[in-house]
Amino acid sequence: MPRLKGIKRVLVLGSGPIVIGQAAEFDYSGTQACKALKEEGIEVCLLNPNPATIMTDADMADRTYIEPLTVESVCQVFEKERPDGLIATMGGQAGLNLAVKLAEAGLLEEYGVRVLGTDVAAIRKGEDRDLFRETMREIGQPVPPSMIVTGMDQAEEALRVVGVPCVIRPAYTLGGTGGGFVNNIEEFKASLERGLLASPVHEVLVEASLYGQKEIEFEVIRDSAGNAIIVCSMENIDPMGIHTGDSIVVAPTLTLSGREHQMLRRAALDIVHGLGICGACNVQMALKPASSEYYVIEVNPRVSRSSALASKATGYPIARVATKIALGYNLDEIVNEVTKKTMACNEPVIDYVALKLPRWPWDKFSEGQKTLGLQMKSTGEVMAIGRTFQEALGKGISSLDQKNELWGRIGRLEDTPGYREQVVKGLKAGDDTRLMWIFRALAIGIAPSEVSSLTGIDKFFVERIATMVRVEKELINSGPSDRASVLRRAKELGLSDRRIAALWGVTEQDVREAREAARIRPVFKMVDTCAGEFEAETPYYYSTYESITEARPLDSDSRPKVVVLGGGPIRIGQGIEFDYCAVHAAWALEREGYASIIINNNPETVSTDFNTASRLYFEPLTFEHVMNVIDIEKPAGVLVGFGGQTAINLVDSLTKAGVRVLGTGPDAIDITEERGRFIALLHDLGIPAIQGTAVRTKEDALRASEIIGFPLVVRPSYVLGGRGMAIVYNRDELVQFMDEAMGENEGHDVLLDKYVLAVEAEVDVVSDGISAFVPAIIEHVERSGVHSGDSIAVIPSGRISSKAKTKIVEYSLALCRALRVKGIANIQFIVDGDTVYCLEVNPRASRTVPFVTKVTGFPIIRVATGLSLGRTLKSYGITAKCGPDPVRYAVKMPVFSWSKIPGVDPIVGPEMKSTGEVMGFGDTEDHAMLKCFDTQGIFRAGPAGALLTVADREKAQAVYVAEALSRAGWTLYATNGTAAYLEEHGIPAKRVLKFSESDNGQRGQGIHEVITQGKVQVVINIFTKGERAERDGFKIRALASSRNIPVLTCMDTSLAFAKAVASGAGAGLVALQDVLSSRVS
Amino acid sequence: MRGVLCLEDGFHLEGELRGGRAGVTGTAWTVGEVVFTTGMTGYEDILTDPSYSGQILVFSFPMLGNYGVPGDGNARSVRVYPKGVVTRDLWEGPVGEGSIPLTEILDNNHCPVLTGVDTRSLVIHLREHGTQKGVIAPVPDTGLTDDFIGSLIRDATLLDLKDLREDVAARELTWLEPSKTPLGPCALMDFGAKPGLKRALLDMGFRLAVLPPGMPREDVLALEPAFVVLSGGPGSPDEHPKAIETVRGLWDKVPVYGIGLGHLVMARAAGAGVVRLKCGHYGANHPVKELATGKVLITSQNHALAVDAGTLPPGIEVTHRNANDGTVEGIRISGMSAGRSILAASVQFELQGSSYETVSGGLWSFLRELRIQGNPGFTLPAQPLPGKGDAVHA
Repeated sequence: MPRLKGIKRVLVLGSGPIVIGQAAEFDYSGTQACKALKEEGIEVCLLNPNPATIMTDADMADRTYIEPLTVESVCQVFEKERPDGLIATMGGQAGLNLAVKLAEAGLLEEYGVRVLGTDVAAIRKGEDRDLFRETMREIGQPVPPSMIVTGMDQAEEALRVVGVPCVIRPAYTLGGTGGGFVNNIEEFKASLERGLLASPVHEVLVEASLYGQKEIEFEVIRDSAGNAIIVCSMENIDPMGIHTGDSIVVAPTLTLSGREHQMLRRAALDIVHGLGICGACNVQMALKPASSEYYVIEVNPRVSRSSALASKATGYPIARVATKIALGYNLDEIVNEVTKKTMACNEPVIDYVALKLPRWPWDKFSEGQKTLGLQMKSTGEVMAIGRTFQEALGKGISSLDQKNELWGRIGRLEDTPGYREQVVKGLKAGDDTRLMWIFRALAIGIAPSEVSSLTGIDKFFVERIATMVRVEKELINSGPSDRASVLRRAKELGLSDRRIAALWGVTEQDVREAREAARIRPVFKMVDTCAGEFEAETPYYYSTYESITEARPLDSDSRPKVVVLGGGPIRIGQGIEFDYCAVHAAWALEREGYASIIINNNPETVSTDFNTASRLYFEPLTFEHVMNVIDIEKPAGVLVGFGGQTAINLVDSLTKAGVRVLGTGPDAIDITEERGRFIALLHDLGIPAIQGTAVRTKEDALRASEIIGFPLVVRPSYVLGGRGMAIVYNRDELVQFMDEAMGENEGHDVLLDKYVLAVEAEVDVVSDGISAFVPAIIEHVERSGVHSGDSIAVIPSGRISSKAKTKIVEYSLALCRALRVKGIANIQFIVDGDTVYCLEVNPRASRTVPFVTKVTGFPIIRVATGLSLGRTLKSYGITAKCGPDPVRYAVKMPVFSWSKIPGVDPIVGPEMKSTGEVMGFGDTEDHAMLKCFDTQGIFRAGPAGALLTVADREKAQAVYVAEALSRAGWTLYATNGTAAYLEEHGIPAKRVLKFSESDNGQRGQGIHEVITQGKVQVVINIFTKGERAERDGFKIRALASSRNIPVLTCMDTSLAFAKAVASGAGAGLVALQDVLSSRVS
Repeated sequence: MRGVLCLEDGFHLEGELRGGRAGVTGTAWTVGEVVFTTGMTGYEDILTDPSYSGQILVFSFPMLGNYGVPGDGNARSVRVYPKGVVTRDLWEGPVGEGSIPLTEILDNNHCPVLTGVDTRSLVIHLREHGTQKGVIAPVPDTGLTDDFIGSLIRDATLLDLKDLREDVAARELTWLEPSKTPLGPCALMDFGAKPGLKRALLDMGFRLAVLPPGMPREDVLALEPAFVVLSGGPGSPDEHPKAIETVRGLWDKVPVYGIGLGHLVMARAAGAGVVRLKCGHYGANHPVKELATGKVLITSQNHALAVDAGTLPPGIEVTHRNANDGTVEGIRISGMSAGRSILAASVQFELQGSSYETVSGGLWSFLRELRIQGNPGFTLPAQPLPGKGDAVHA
């Protein structure tokens, strides 16, 4: 069918901030959707409060609203823009839920907006538990038996309906607390009772246990004429019971026989027809091994993390095709953009194995519960492509960019007493380290079948890993005669040079030379959606060890080539912002007349989309793999400043290998990372530095503390996102920190700095090495002590004196000139009155770049890329030192994923913990702030209430907060001490009992009740230093987080919140295009 | 042992050689038409498909033998049709319970396997230079000299494609009985039918007469079949002149449905020509458009020939076209005879997955249409359920 008539203007819903379970994949899909719409000449309106995305760039849509994803915002957009259509299936669960709300409120009809693609009825069928089960029954698809139980009187019925074994899932508990697997009737009753008690609403879902079954996914795409294809089949290596987001996943399925595959394929197609999907859909099924029994687990009637993976695994642009389908086209009318010869109805086939590994945040959240289960906990993922499962796994492990390679230690561990037991325990634990334990278990001779039964992972995969372990042993035992042949096999099985070097006890460079000597070099193969059957035009490659290479260097292209290193998996501290930067760097290169080549391994991102750069290499971001690409492409240079710390860490080895690193030089990078050299530089430039020193031993640390004085900020050197950073107030805390830090950080410095409590500020500065330009000064709401990534950022700055501002600009220019920064740097300051201390210089793009770009309209990365290539600021017409203050205020606020990671204390501090961010524009700072709080769901329907529990030292400030909220009509709840203090100051507050008080038998309204009964929308908990998890404060924070109620743990944040509430709502929405005034051509 | 696959044009790739005439060196182990398949799963169904007879089969998906060959023990005796197999990675380790290692099945069939091959490069070469014959041979101690490659090229070009194939068509009339009470007889002209096709037809409830392709028309009609299915198989329709003769006009007496080679036989019988495609269709993902509805079907194909649309006589309508290259994929013969207006239909593909899908989809719709057309006395059979499987055992 040709394009729908009468669709001229379409609103696309984004997914909002990055949280665990809803990440960069929706920037990827949303961006593809915007492009696909624009191609059709449709005017695109976009709503998404996440500034760190490509989709919210001013030129991606015609009207961009960086505003809360609420019904109110959408109505305002409807009012202003009058779109004809709405696309809600690109914005994850957030977008889908919002569309359903709009439909239920009758707003779509009222404004005459048509839902394009999968309609609301189909969305409901996929999302509503009962409707879904009914639909499945109608079309004869089996769903696992389950029942909702609200009292013990239903126990017998549940046993009859579901039976044992089963899973007990209490409703509304964090991470499934109080639930679990049940194997027999006795356990069933006890567990059900426990579950009902644990659930604040006394509701439990009893569901048949599918634990241990194979988890299979199909990505299906269907058009309105009813044509449907399977884009990709995927197999979770981890069995049912572990969230697919936390599972290792391979594409295509590897252990299904032809018959099993056809059975599930047919089921997946029947399901999308049954639901009436018109676009993309993910179908998850559980298959009982060695049987023809399966269950349909769930469907996602939208693009998803899995569809992003399927897109990258096959090369098939699912979001793009789904958008065209939403406009009315059929699959056979849409050209496959990869081959340009086949149509979108060609079911993709692949001739390699794609493998996804999750990346968990445990380097940040050491105290979190690491066991994998039904709640997804990973923040990001990597994908690796190999011609065999083993090769893909090996490359995947390299891609994870984790210091301790997952495979663990090497050597004769069998002899260590108790080691075997330790390994078995590791296998059984089912946490993020299970892959490492599998390698270790096989290495000490535990049989694959035993490993398989202990982990629930199919023997197929364990057997394949065993082949890797075997070749590792052969490597160790190899002699001069067979070294080359074993080396070749090891490379074919995906073992990294680094791993081989460790096995041989040599350097990575030695292994590379040994490979060269034996002419063992990788070839590059193409990802083409068709397994080579048709000629493809899109250059998207991966490396493997075979005969013939397909990636002929871009010779036909006469432009010079430049490689851009991406950021790898999304993790706390290195998020989607760096993908934003890498994408813009690639685009800037093309603009400057260069051919851009991206190397990256994150399947969720825009940078790994098939047409972002002139060429894409889907490879690990390690020296070995980056050099392999450089050897074949022989680029003019490499840009390392846009992929975060991962790319910066490669500068040293690349430079030594003779690669030309463009932009800021390696020595300057070293100065910024070596504390001593950096302080010396500040001294030379006359820039105040926070007093500090670097130490390597406990004794030195104590001696230094006597000179500098407490409190101190302590952190290991070479950090990423503030890992291991803390504030210590006395000798005991310092000793404890040093003991912990030395263990992991041996041979590296630990930095001690005086802790100055003052305003933090930062700039992203572009420089040609001689002059520099500061687009804007970013002021942080939280004073020092809170990681910059977890602070609320404001532009323009209101608290910093103009004298200090001038200093910030001057210091930035001086530093850029001294370091000969060519490109971009991020500089952090502490501003104490008129005194400006320089904290650090990051010689790379930072997480604030997208925010500043959106506020100022200044294309930071485009200019920085040009400067890295040797252009001057003057050539861009830039002569000013800093940009003008923007007319409108903008606020960037961190967003946390507390509810996903039980065990972690939801407080802000020197360690970064946020996973994403939102942004708001306003006529005043307060209005912009209010919007950001609004996106976090603080202003839910119902009476406004806040719970305050504040430590004594901050109580005076709490009075202001309470007064402002009270005046705005909020009901205040407070614990005894806080309430008494407020009452003294004439502010009424309802007293609530702490957990410990109600446990002691005191009567009255408890905190539990107030939080779980929805009486409060925000919890303000300013806690006492040193408070431990068992204390009340932690319990309050954990409970509120589990209900997704924001918890403010810093007084600065609370004051900002109170001010924002007091100011009331400002003027309505403004499109980004209207905000931007200053632009550089 | 090191081995080599060498094509007629001299393109050759090395790998590890196993199976076949192990121990024999110096001469080619096998000669065949080198074709590839892009299917990513179900190798057990592909290897047992007689239409691959005479071919050296290249699997573009690199991991072969992952799950062995599932079955209840019958799998051990299955017949493998290709003359050789080329793959990137062949699993020789243990497989799941109840399954038999693929290596064992290939060895039982003396089917040589060249593994560790850069199969993607091979597929691309075949795409660019066309399908050709090739040989698999051990690499001699003297290495791959020009002389040796020259001798392999001669080996490859020596034989005709036709002579490379085994005769996989039925030789005599056999009756197969369904498990349920039979509806009556139907007939399958067997050019080398997949085992699954017979099972799917039996599942509809008919007694099944399996016919040798050369059986005279009168003898076919004497069996009083409800309809006749022309099966798929290897080679070209012109290798079956007698079958073409039998089929010509058969549709005036009894409904006829053709699949794969059977489709080409029917087209020839109707007087149409057949052309060789520049790029053959090999794989499990070919989109075919059903012209009447606009629907796109995902199909499995293994052929290099197609009906020449320009030569179709009047009364024959094109019903399906390949969505990529527009070639004819299905035809229908209409007219009035014996109270029917639709006389015959045929498609060049299997619906992706299995014969069950093809029978349950294409053939069953054809039969239903016949019934709707008011064909007196025609009982619509039960629709065989797809997904039940087309695996070698079942």
